[in-house]
Amino acid sequence: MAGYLLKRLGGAVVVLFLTALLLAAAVHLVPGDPARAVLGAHATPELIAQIRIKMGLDKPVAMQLWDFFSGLLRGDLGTDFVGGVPVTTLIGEALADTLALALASMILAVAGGIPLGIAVARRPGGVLDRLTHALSMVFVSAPVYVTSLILLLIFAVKLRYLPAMGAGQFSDPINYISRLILPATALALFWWGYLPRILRATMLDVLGTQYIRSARAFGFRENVIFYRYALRNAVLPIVALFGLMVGYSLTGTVFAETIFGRSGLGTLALSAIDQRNWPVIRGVVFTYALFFICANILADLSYRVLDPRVRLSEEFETGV
Amino acid sequence: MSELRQTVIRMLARPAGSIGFAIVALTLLVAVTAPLIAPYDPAAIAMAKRFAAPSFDHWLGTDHLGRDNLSRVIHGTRLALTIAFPAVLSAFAAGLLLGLVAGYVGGLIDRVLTVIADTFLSFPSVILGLALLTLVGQSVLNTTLVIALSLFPYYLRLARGLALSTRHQPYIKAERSLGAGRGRIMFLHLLPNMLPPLLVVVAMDIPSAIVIEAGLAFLGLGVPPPAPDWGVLLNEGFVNVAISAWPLVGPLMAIIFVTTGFTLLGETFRDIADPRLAGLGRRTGRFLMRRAR
Amino acid sequence: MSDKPLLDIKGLDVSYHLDGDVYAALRDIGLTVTPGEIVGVVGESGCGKSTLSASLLRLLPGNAEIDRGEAWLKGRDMLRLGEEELRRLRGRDIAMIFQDPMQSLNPTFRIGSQMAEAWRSHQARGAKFADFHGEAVKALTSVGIPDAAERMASYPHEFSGGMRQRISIATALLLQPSILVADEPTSALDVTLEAQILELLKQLREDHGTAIVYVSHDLGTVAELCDRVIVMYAGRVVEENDAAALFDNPSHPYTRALIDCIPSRTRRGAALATIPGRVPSLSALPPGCKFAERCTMARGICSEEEPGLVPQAGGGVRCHMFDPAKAEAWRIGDQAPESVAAPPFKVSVKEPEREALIEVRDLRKHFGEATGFVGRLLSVARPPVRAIDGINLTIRRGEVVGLVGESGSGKTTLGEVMLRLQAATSGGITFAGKDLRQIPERDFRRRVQMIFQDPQASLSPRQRVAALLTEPYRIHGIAAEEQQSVDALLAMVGLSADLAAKFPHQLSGGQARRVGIARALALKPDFIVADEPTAGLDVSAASAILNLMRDLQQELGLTFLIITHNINLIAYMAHRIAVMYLGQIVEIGPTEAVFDRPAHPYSASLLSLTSQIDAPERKRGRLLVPGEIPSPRNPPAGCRFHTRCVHASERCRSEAPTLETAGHGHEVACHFWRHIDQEKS
Repeated sequence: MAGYLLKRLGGAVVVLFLTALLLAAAVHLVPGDPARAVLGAHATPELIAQIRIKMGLDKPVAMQLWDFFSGLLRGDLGTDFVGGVPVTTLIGEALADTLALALASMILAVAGGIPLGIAVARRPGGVLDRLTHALSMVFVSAPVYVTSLILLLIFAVKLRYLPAMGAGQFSDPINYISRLILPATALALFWWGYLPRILRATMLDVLGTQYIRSARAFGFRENVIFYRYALRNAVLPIVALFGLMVGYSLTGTVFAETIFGRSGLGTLALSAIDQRNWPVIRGVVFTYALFFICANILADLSYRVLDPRVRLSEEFETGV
Repeated sequence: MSELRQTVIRMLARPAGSIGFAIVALTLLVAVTAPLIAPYDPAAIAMAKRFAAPSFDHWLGTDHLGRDNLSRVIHGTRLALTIAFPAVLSAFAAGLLLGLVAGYVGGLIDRVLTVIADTFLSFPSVILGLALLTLVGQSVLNTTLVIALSLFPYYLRLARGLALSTRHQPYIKAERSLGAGRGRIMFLHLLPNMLPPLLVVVAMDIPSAIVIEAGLAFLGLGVPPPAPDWGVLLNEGFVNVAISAWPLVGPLMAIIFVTTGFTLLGETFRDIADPRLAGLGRRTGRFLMRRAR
Repeated sequence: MSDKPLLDIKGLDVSYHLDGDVYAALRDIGLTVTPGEIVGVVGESGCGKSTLSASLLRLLPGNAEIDRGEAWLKGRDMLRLGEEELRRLRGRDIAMIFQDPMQSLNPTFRIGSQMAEAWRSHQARGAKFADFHGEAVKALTSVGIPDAAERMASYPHEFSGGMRQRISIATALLLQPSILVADEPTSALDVTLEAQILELLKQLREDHGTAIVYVSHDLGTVAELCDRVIVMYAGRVVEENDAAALFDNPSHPYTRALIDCIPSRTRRGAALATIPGRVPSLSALPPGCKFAERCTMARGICSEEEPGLVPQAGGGVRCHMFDPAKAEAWRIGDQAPESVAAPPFKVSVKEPEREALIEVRDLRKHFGEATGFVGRLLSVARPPVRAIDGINLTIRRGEVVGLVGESGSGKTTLGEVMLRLQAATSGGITFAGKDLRQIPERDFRRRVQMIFQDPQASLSPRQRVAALLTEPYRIHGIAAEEQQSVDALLAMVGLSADLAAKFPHQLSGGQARRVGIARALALKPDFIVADEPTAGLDVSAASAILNLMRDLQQELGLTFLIITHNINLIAYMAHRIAVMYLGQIVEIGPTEAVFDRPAHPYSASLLSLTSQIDAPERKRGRLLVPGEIPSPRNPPAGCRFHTRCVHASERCRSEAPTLETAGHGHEVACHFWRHIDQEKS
């Protein structure tokens, strides 16, 4: 376990380093003048000259990379072009709202998806199974911006049930949570389609195994077999999905924040893109990658802790 | 190729398969015949008829410039597919080839390729797309390339994993013991056995590519307006949602319809062609995920 | 033993429904089990053995349907019980253990908790849970799990396959059922472990009077264990008799053929009996006797009318040709043309030449050898796996050498290293007088071939048979005139030309094995390594493959290294036998010599444990090997076998023996081989 942990962390550090390197060097990797790439085709020569100095593009590339990495190690992601604020400060302000949304959506996803999956697996081929099967195809297929827009149209524009726009303030928790409902639901819908399907499949797999037959041959009670024996093993593979869930939620927040007018990392990134504010874009992208990598490590580790077999297939060994 | 024919017949025998097939066929038909079946020029502006509600003349109403919503959605179908297909296919070809080499040859090549793939995989696709498109600029070609680049590491990973597990099959050892060279083993024995499960992934990734593409355009970074891209339509509709919801209805329905169709088709194909894949939680999860990025 | 049956199955019919087809899995099954009796159920795969064993507990899959019949257990008809009543019966009155011990325990629960659940499921019995712990420790200890109290907190994966089967038996012991159904309980285990499990089953009967239904494809273990045997064919019971009578004097032609298919030392030199054709599909059974089309004795009536069960002394026979009045004189052997009396031992496989073809010197293969600085630091805690550790072996041209040993002994690794499919860690290999390192890989590949364990999986699945057969020529760029045609290759291994267009998954196991052999022979190799050539095949298919290999060896003068755990196969085919234990050869010599006078205690045990169905051999004593093969990561010091050897002394624990001569060409690595009394008692 300790050996695996070291190996896994080592791999993550390498990937994180390359991620940072890629972002630091990105302006040089695209063809043409880096300053123009950052500012777009219509920038004035004065502005370009200004940016070139601000970003240190006049220095040698190696020097620029060194500056970026030494900054990164000090927790400094550079300063924003427009307001001159440290990028970390901007990200710190936006992060809370984004994480609250991601977390809320994940809680909703699990709280809805797992019980539904159990109910479906209890009676495969039953009414509930068929109903959810048809619906889950739509839920699984529809992207976040589609679900968000539909929820916005129905609940905020048409019915005016829930406050639609903005994230609210932590100081008013009820208001804050009520503003989370719509965007979090929009993000959770995918999992309400996906988790029951996966759980149903793994559950049927497990119920067909030899050890379940063996348990029946020893006269175990059917409820014990289903809820204690099979369910535990069927949920295990789903734990490994946690990393994906975080990735999905983070990406989804970009859309949900835009559509529901919330503040957060996504809207920060988009406004930075509008302003061609490259250090902010770079910082936000790096933050997303950091969370994503950590979530995957966490998912892999919890899977290994929960499954005593400690299987080490290639896929899990180096997977991000 | 009776095997293929049998698979198709068995797919159509299932309701999910036949519905999926019908939707995909219809989508392709609409994309090919878009100029013929669209009632209006998608770019024809008529300021007098802005935000019209649905009527016999305009089944889905008109947008903020008086353009026909239905015609724009129909032309958007063509645009969506002309980006999604090349993006997925090129990413697949490159990923398959490199993944095969990484998985079978192993060693340093494998490590380098895997680390590169992992680096790209540590960005959610849409985020990576945002950053790259900011630098390279918006266009249809750039959108296609960015989507291909974000899908490619998945294919590399997937092909590598399959090659790794397939290469320990007894028949590969048997080929080696006969004296078969690397090229023969990789392309004659490994590749044909890896393709069926991977083709499922490709079928299921067409909608992922459509979703990423529309998503980028919705955020204002993909295909630029005035092209009738679904994402552009959603963006314009969203901006004006307080005035009229009708411009949103068409693209929303189109995206749900098309992605569900491809998903139905892909999943049915998966269940029939390779039942083993159905149980692979994490892997299935991974490629179902992609459309959301 | 009382004669009142515990379990009485009458007229049981079971069908499977799949894709609209109906498969007649069981028809008109009758079976009684009296207290304390061990009943064997034998037959080839697809004959309904497993369906029958599952039916005994009504544990059939969802697509199975019981059409008809009664199953009386303790005065109640199980087929008419509700689910809850049935559940109460299972485990407490009738329990079952399964073939694959690796998969019959839930991997994510500690074994103690699984046993506790079994206990809790039957608390109605009046036992208190407080008693559970003591009872469980007792049960585990009695099946030979050391430190039972501590091991109850372990997970299944921390036990070996043999240990897990013991745990299943211990769980049964805890519930004390009157009947235990054992479905191929030893098929996944080595002979040494198999013998231990069989002992355990016998003991279960002795101590608790448990009746056992033992289902197996292995006639040898059935002969060893059972009081009474039923033989199944195509879902019917075709013969039932007392075990001794059944094996000595089988009444049904199918039983006779099954027995004659088995290779053994006494059949050496003779062609083994084969059963032509295959078990008919259960969805399209012929009208008459189901065995008629494969039966050498069949007459007109056999394919027209299904025979009823004709009573005989210990049971019955389902055959038109059997006449109970003449039962005494009834000798199928006299009438069946195929069964030939075994010629004397001499008429063996073709004698080898003098010239050494392949020579192995001090060969080693260690896996996970530490490399680099960090690796070496970590290796202190984790030594390498010594899969083969100092092997010397010379195989002469035209010779057949059999290599036996338990799984984990390193025999497959040795075969693969000899063929350069894996790199050796150290040591030298000389092939046809040349150092292997000086022979270009391509040339070497042309001259050696391997026949792999799994017949079907070793054929590339998306290639047709024709392409598979000619691939060796394409790989080595053989000129067209030197190639053998696909038809000729198929004919050589006894397959018809129309198989050329098939894909591997369309072949039966036996056919796939033949294609594998034809592929190996296409390049006319000098040396062939055959890894478990009959594994996964039914006895009849296996005997046909052995006949083929023997014929080809004689015709072409092939040199074979046969790797197998089936000692009978080696007794039948090989000139010499080498016994491997933990990466080393502990005994090697001419087959006759080793079989007559095994010098190493390990080989003596292996030979004694090899299941025998021929009457004189059956009565031999069995020398159990205690314990399990240690990990090749930490082989015991001194003689590697000392941890399991009853003769081990202080010297064995410290000093490793080397191979020394024990007769002409017969070598053994044991300090005390001269002193150990190898009497078979």
